[in-house]
Amino acid sequence: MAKRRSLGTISGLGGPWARGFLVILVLLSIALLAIDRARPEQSPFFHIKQVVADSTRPVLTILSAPLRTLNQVSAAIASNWQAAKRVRELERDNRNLMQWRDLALALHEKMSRYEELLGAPKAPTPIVITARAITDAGGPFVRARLVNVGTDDGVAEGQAVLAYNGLIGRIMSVGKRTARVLLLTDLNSRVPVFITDIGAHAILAGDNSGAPRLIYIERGVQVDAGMRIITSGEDGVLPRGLAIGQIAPTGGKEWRVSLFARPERVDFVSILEVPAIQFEEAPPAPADAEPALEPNVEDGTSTAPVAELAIPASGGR
Amino acid sequence: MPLFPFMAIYFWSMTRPDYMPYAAIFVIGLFQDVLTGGPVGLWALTYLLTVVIVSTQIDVIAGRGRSALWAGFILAAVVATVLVWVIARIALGPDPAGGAAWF
Repeated sequence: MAKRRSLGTISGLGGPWARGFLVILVLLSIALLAIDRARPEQSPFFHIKQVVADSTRPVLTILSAPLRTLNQVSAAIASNWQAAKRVRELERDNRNLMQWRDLALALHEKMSRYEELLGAPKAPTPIVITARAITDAGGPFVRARLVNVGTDDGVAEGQAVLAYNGLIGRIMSVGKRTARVLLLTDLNSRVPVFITDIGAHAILAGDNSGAPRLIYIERGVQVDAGMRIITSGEDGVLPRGLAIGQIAPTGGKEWRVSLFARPERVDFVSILEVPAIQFEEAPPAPADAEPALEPNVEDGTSTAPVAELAIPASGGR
Repeated sequence: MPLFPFMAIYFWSMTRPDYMPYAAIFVIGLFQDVLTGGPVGLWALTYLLTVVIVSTQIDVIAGRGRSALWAGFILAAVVATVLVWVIARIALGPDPAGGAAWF
């Protein structure tokens, strides 16, 4: 103990040299914070972060293995908990979904016939890049995850990232072999969405909680819990029609969305590489933003299983 | 990610401080900031300040067995969490969309 105590005085708080160094380090951190600010895209560290992420990728891949196993075990326990009941529920769901599938196929067929008749431009079929999340969802102030694909695999900024059951975010920055996904729940995430049941536009704003808020909802519409939210594609970044979630029943004035996918729990993700929209006229001036939205309005012809079609789901849960 | 790096920082700062110099704490914090993509300097500052604060109680915590060390960790974790919240509130400013003050 005496030895520890004496060691403590050497570099714990003691020693004028160590103390001066400490002050320098603290000031340095404050300076870094001041430089970095809240907007990650404008930060001088933006690229450094991606380089570090790239170089630590092999280590992270190995380190994420035990966590993945743990997640799987806990998921297995959770799903076995009431297995019989779950089976009954799933059977019922399955019967429901069969009907929906028939309807979807019929509509799809009808839709493609109409498109043919009208000569509507075919929506580009997105290329799906499968990736694995290799880090956890950041700290208490960031909701972002690294995935193990980068520019080498065709990933680019702004691409949509989906779990099997819905959108989880978009690509925020890309390195050669890793990419950072900004989750829908992050404070900086703003996604234009469409409330399908009433046909209203809104913005889905993350606030680091589990359920993002709906802001700037169109005036004069009656929003209600259980309504379905899809991407509207108004930003020209994400394709239209990706499933996001349902409006959660909240008592207060603000509306929140319970996401179909749980961004913080997702392991494997699909990244949608939508081919760039080809403009035949002159490049669009900044003033006319509305024609840019037309070509990607139709997402119905996509055959990729993950690109959920904008078929109305049942209102209930 | 919970305070995983802080467990190591705390343990070594309390038992063998010379194994965990300030520079190392700073680098660990910086690495965590860069890796999680958060504001750079946030965790570096938090870890440094927490160690400074908890080190004032090193005589109570260190060398008194495991329970004292654990009690110290609970204290340290609370200090770190409060600190990181305060620093983030100052550094990041209010929610741009005008959200709740407590996030």
